[in-house]
Amino acid sequence: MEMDTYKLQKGNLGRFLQKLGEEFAVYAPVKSDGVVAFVELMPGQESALDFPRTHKPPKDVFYPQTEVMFGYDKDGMHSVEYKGKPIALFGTRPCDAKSFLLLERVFIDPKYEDPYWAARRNNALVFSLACNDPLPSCFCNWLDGGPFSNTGSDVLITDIGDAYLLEPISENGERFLSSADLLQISTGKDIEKAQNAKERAESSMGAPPKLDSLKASLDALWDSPLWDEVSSKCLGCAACTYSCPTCYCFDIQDESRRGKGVRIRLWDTCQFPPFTKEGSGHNPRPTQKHRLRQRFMHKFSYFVEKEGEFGCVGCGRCVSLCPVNIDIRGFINEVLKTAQGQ
Amino acid sequence: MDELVEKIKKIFAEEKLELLIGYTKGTLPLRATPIFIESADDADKLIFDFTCHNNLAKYLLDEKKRGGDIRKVGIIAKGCDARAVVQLVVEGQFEREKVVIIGVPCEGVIDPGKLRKELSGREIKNFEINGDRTTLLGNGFELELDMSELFSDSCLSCRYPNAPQYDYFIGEPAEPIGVRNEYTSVDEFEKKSPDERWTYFEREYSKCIRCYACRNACPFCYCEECFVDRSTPRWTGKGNDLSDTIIFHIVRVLHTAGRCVDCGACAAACPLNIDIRMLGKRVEKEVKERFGFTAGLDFETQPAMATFNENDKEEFIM
Repeated sequence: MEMDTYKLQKGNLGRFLQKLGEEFAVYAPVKSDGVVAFVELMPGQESALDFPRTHKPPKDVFYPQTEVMFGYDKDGMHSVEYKGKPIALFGTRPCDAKSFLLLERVFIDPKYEDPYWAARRNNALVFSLACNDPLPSCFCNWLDGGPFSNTGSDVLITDIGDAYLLEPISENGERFLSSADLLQISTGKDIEKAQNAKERAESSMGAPPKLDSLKASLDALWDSPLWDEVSSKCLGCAACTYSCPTCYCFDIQDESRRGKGVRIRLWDTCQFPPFTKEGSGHNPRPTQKHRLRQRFMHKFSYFVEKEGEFGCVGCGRCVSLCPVNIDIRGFINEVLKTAQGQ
Repeated sequence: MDELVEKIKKIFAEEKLELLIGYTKGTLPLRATPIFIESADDADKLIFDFTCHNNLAKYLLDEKKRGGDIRKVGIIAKGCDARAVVQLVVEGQFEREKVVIIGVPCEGVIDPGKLRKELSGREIKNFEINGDRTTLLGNGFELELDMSELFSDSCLSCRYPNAPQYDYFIGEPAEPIGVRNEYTSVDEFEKKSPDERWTYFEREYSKCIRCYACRNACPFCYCEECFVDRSTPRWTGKGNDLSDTIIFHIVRVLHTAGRCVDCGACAAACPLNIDIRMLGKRVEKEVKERFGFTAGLDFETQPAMATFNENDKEEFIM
């Protein structure tokens, strides 16, 4: 069944978000001290929807960098559960929306469900804002994505000038939009405008390389000097992994004091030496070459093996933020070229 | 640029270099990237200009960690890179005989964080340079700026644009750009009330995601195991609790006191543009005032924190 698309005048955005906030905890990109990140929108607070790509990925809405798992004291343990309203993410970009599906494969497995992730993620609505102007470092179209991709979204929003076009993608999205105030049914002309924006955005990105053979190429090049080359300048920081929407590794720590404490889980990264350091002191990934290889192999080989798709959405944050300009796109091309020549 | 390539080729042969650490063109506009060259034939890839912001001295430590014999390393050095090399030699981290310092005149380098800030989320596809002005060109926008607005804060108050110690120097020594007095920002900050200063540090460090890009970009953060990574005992919490984060930054600044060469690598590496430099510069000023010491100027002077002088001011000792 074809679903209607809706139109929201830009002047009504504030009121729309306010309405949304009655039912949901609304997270939107907000600029604070120069940093744009997804935070819970407070009444009257302005969102930075125009900002092309938030500094921090929205994964921390469902999977905070530091999260209390439970508390304990001399009388026992007590659970700490998310008791807030269901979450609505407003203004995620299509790459970030797709990242939730990839993360979900890890946190919601047929056998294991991560209760912390599920508590925030279940019943959440994702309103994605299509990218009219993809950035030069974006490469979502290499990875089955695109500036107007709706994968992972409940609603896809397109900026059509003085209004937003809202296209329901999921049933939940449709249910919300069909009963929401302030919306009009969009006209053929509105839809044409969105279509034009989509074509412009997609053609601005250039043709992506074919990645069908990437996994096999990487596997074949496990011992290649390419790894020495790319890792020699790597500083071993976590600017890439902590700004990555699909990196999910965590550490667990106890923080206790005077008979009571909390167990927390916090983002960890394969780029840090202690990540794989064993109790004996042995470290199976002793050098930055081993650690960088792990990051790339995890996204483009191991994740494919386990989940059937790449563990990268091509948001380009690591490309833009790496202090020494390690560009994963260049490395992928290098791998494909080298494997082809073998 | 040809002069650089040509001379490097000569130096390679003369010095029998086994490795040269330099810069090459990066994949993004206005970005250079470090390159490691093992043969003079690859010298054509080298560049040096205002995009070469990384402090390459950091990589001398990697050469040491590589295992095997330490190779003879040439290093392209701005003033701050050279000072870092000198300081590392003074600290016994690298043998003087194994490093060939190749000075290049620095007229300021672009801090990618400042560039990101100016662009406010957009990215450029190209740029034009016109004297001291630059025009940044992106998808449907043009932004004209003074180059100095993109330069690292360290460059804007740099006193040593040329290597104070070098084995070779390529080009004519540069004049300091001297846009700002060295300690102006620190002096102004000191005039604020403790509450205002605390609010500032709270605001800046609350952005920190503990990625340690600052630490890892710093030539003087070479501890085998950083205190924040220790688990037995654990010195500080690992989450993004503000007090833990601030402990990390304060300890790092204290640990680099009298060693920091104010290259700005920490600030330039930060993905969130945190003002990491303010604390460091303040401590550098303290060391200079109390001990008359500036790091990395010569191979003989012992670092302020590694020596005792009976003339040292001691009024702060209780």
